[in-house]
Amino acid sequence: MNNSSPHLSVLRGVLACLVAVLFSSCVTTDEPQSLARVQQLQSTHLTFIDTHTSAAAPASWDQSGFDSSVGRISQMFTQAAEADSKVTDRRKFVENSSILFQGDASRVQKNHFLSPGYAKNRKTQIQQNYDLLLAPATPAATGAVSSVGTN
Amino acid sequence: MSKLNDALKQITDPAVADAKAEFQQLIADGKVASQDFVKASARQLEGWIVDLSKKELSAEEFEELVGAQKILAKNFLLSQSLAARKRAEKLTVNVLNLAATKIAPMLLAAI
Repeated sequence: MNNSSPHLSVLRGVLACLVAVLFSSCVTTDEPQSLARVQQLQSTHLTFIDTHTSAAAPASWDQSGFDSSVGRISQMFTQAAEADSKVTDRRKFVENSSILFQGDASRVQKNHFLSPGYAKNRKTQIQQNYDLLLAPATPAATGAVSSVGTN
Repeated sequence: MSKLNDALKQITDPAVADAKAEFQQLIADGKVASQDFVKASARQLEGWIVDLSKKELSAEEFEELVGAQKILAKNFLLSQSLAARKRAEKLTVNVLNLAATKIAPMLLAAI
């Protein structure tokens, strides 16, 4: 028997723990990736509004295409919330933003379009919402980035 | 503010005179608040009330915009210190609730 085996075993255990700790810290503090996901949610939501803005309901309606689009976007919100699950304020932000998207999806489902006036107001709101996280303008909001945006 | 005043003049029921005055004051306070979000929120709500009075926004659209703005306000409040939160909540969530529960219904009944 090799006398160093128990030491090697302990060393392997310590190394495994170190790798695990490093890995988990990378997952939870990957701020650029988290912000990139949030930016993608913003542009996806704004594109969704543009796609469905019109003065009247379209002559034809593709329900399965709409369902598929809403399902895909909803999944993006779910995945973003899960990815930030350990950053409570960020997760809440994403969940609240998802509620905003679901509101628009329900409205389009019901009427098959968004009126230009409503869409304009809505896009202002969506921009304003994501700016709270991505482009804070006031000193108070800048402080928020550290509380919302970090562990 | 004069457009808002013109819109609110259409509400003549004395039972909501206090609510009208409180609403006007909260909008005025919000527009001079130090946080950009609170200022923008007050200006938007003022605009929606004016649009509602001109029937440029439907009651349903108004309700949805106000509901969504409350969600934005929650996201905004996440970023505020406990000390600032109460004041900010009054100028965002509370004024939105007042608009949705008292001002808009009376305005819709009057126009």
